[in-house]
Amino acid sequence: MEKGKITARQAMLLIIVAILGDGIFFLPTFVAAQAKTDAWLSFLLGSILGLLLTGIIIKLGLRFPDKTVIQYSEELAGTVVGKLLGIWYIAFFLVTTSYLTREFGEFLTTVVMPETPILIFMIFLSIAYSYAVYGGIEVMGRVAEFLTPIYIFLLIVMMGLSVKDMNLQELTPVMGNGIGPVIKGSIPPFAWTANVSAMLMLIPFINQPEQSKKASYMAVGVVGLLFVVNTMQAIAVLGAQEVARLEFPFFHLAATVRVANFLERIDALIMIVWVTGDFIRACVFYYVGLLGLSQWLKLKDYKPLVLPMSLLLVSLGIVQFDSIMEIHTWGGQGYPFYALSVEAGIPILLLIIAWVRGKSSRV
Amino acid sequence: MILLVLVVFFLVLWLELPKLIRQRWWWELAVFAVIWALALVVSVAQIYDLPLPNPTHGLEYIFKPVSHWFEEVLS
Repeated sequence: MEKGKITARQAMLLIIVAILGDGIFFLPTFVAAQAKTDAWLSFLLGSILGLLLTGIIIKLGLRFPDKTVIQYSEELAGTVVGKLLGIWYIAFFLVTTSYLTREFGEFLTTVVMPETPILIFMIFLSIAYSYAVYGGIEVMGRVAEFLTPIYIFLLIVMMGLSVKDMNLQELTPVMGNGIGPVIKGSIPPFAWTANVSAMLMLIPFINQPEQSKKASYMAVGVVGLLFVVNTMQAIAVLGAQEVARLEFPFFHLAATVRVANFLERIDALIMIVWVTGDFIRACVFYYVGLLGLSQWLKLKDYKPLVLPMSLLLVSLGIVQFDSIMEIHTWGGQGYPFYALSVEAGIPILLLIIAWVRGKSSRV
Repeated sequence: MILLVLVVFFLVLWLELPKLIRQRWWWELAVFAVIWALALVVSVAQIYDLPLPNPTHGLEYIFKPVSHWFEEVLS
């Protein structure tokens, strides 16, 4: 199976982009539709919930620092329930990879190359992530170590450039409709920050597992901060209604940047951010799903499955949605609950069982 | 289009099959074959516009009510 090891720092960088990847592009739309001008408060609440969940995930993961969640779920919950929980977890990561492949194509056909068939983009992304996943966890760790700093730097540059266009009036009234919409809006950001549950599969491959605690909290913290600032800016520059209407508010935010008549149309940089982000996010999800599946089926190696599974995910990616509107409805309404049933439901359940039965592989 | 799809599918077969047979990994080969066949069925059905079950609709069936319930509680 997997013999590579990564550092806690590499895991942190992988998780950061695995959450931000498409979240920073899609989420403000979902959230602004619910919470209007308070969308940034929803992101704050969602990230705090994400930090609480991180605590649970790390508690569970460090009880079994040498095993993945697929391996210890059977030990904890019995063969049948353990297997069911395992496949529920694996299916989520694979299905999400398929969504990501589709989204990647939708974004590029919507904003950059409307005449190219979407399949082309999807195939290229799937070749890229298959290649990385084929390389194993060490390769992905190094990719993240190289690309994530560039990614975050570009995000910060873009945010910095649109500061002067901000109109803080747009952020008022704060909680004009009470706390209900803020809580409603916090579900998608919570579901995205909960992607830190990928750590349940990564902890055994971190060379010093104890450090994964700090790394996970750092990852969710950084993501939360970027989420809140980005949403505040999008609303202050474009207005809450516009953010709720646009498909990719962050892209339009960058497109409005204009500095002294010579620095404009930096939306090309957004392409780099989008492609990098979606690529690393897809790598993490595909790796977690595939490694999980091969452990679930007790295979000797996950590598033979990389290519056929990516064929399946691309074709499913096309089948599952008719249009980008459908992706948005599903992504904003049903999907976060599905994601939370996996990412929060499984670790909470397993941790309770582990406590009750007093099980742990630590001696 | 169908030709292109078949070429890609057989390319994958050609890349992975010899290794699996050489190492006598029969269980891995079986799993590989199932996923490969499933992918082929989905792709071909799509090219000929045949109806396919959509996993997302199944998930929607489960999670839409949860989402609606949540909306009502907080409105």
